[in-house]
Amino acid sequence: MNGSSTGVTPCCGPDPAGQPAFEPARSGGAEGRSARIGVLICACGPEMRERLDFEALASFTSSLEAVGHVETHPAWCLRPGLRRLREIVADKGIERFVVAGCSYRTHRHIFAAALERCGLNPYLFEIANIKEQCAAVHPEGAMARAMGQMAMAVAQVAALQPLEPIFVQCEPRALVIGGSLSGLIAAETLAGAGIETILVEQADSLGGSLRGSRGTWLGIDPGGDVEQRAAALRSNSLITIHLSSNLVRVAGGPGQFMVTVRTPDGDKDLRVGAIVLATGSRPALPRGVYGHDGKRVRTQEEFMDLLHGEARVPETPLSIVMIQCVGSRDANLPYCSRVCCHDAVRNAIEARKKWPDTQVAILFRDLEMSCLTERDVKHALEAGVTFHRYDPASPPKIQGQRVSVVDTLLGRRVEILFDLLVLSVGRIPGEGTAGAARVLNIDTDAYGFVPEPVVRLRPQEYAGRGIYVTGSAHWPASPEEASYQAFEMASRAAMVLQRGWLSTRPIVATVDESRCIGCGLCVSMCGFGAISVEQTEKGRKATVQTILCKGCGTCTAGCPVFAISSAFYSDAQIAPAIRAAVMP
Amino acid sequence: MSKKFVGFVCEWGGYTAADLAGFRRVAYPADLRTIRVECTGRIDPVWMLDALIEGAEGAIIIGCPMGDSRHEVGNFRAQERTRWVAKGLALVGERPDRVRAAFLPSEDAEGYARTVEEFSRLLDTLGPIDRSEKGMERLRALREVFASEKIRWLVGQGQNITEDADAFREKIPPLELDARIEEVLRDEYRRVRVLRGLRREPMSVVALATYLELPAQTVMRDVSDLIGIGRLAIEGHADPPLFREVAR
Repeated sequence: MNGSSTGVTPCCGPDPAGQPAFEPARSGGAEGRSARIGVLICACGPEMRERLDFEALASFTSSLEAVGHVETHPAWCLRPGLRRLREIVADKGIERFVVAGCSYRTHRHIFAAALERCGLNPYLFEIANIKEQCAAVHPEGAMARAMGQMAMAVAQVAALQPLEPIFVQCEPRALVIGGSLSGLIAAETLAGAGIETILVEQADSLGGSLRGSRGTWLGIDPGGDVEQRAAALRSNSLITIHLSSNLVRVAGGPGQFMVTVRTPDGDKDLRVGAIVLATGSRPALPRGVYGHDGKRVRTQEEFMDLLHGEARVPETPLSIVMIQCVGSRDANLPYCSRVCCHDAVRNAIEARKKWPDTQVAILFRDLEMSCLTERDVKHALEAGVTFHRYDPASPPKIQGQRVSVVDTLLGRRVEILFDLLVLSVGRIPGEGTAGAARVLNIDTDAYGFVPEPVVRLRPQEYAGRGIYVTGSAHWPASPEEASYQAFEMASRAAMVLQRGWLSTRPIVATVDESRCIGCGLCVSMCGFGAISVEQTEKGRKATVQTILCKGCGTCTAGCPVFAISSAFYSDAQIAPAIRAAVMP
Repeated sequence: MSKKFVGFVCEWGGYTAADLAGFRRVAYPADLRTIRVECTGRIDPVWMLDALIEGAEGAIIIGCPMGDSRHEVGNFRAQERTRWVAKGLALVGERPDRVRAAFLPSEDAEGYARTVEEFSRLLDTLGPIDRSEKGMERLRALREVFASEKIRWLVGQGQNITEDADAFREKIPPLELDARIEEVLRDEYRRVRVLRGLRREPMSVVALATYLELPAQTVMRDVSDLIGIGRLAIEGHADPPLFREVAR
């Protein structure tokens, strides 16, 4: 069975109206027909034939309890072998199988699929690896090991329970947290796929840090873009927008989240199937660095108001000096924010265009121009922007109207007079990120961003949990990257929500509530947040969100009162295997 | 080559490395019997002791390197649990290195073969486990210790305490925790022996102390503790009183 789970309605299969992916009805294993075990011995490979005596193996396994049929074949995994398997199932009524041959990792799928085609449960099956892990590596003693491993597999299969894939229905609704560029695009994409979408923004208007921004990025005008998109969302009947609102509570799991959104009109309880986290990033405001006053010393964002603003300019600056990596890539924010170099170069070009008589100099540490933006450096040089590289050990110094810096490329000190100083500061996570991550129970890194935990082993980890992290919530992203990510993540979410159900393999932990003492130790052991302790009529009991459970069994082996069991790797199944391990 | 030992391997680490050793024909001793699990985190301390009780001379866990497990924390738990079982074995007079946890990358076929071979050779030098009645009774008692709620709770909580903090927001240094683990294991082992002795037949404290080869005062204290938590009761009206285990 699927075990207990709160907030998640396990259903027996895909929505009948939808397209069923597989046939859920299958024979139940032990009931009715014979529970005897068929042992299929594979005789392929030179070492196998040389080091193993198949007749002796067959007669040994026939003598084991519960074995109903033993047969040797040159290659069970090929078509003739699989055809023979079908005959055995039909003629002998055998439903549990042990294949003695190649690795479980390489051959499980072949036999599981074949058993399913025969109408059998694919989880009443185990492989005794007598090839890679026996004949191939044991010039001596292979026979004894093969017998041992086969006896163990037989003992295990005798104790197996039929398992069915787990399905969870999905609420056809999505929640987007954050009205940043990526949030807007995600909401638009989801609504475009016909999915009801709720957009929650902490601030009182949409657009995030790009709101009111001017200028272009690879031909896009992000500021104008977010305004247009926000306007389109407001008139979209599938989208509900909550401004000045926060996510305050999340329960349930993927497909069946129960969320509470705190809005100015009170708390709203919603049921959603997927959550998109798009809380964006914002500039780390400098505190008094280089005499920052927002007028004569500005950040790039503040400079853009001047550059693209409507004639609020007191007078045309004659010399502009931009300093990169201010308060960034230091002990406090040791990472590169990736977008600021391009912002500076782009603004420098714009400034030269707008005020042809103005000198523009950029003082940089490493010019980090990603992909296509690299060519803008050339454009900037052509436009007459000067570049000076400085060493972080001796940063530029300001003396009155003069900036003094050691140019490490020229190898000498350069002094520039300026009347406008522009600071490129690093970016930090959007204001909503910390709160949302806490409510969603996902980890933030040392700086508050939400990176994917183990990209190499489990890419898109959070998507599996029904949470789709996108844009600068991950890491500072350019508007272009944020757009791509938002589109991609929203599309992924839309695929699941349109299908209407989620499924997972049945190798999961289940809790025996009559034994559970509600101590919560399992909660601290689970690396996937799949277990929680809930108040039930019978007291505090652990419950498993089966859709989140990866079946590792860490909770099972740690439960003080043996109240948890792991399907396919239960104590009832391993104990006989341990006994059989030393048998022959 | 009659000795055998059990290898608990995870599907993603040990089992994969073993497969690779097979593809590359890296030979190693055949006295290993492997049991595949989803993750080394699934391996119950009780399983390792079961293997020794059932006749294996040792039990080895082979899993993924720390921080490289697709199940996040399973291998950390397996390592911690193995450490406890090893301490338990030392406590009952058995060699602690009969249980071992090794963690290696799934692509390290040679490492797998070497690990198995080294362990096999180590077990050869250790010789067979004492399978006399007394020796087996000690192992069975130890298994019962590791099946007890108290010890299982501590095994699980131990790592939380050293890594996070306990209920008093105190971080206990791992070495200090080790000392406490040994103390708790020793107490629990003694109590389990008392319970098991009285499970065989109701006895007086003096008779039990003789049977367990323990000072009568120690046994008396354990008996009264166990009465206090409802695990023992007085049997009949004999003088001196006989104690029996309360069926649960």
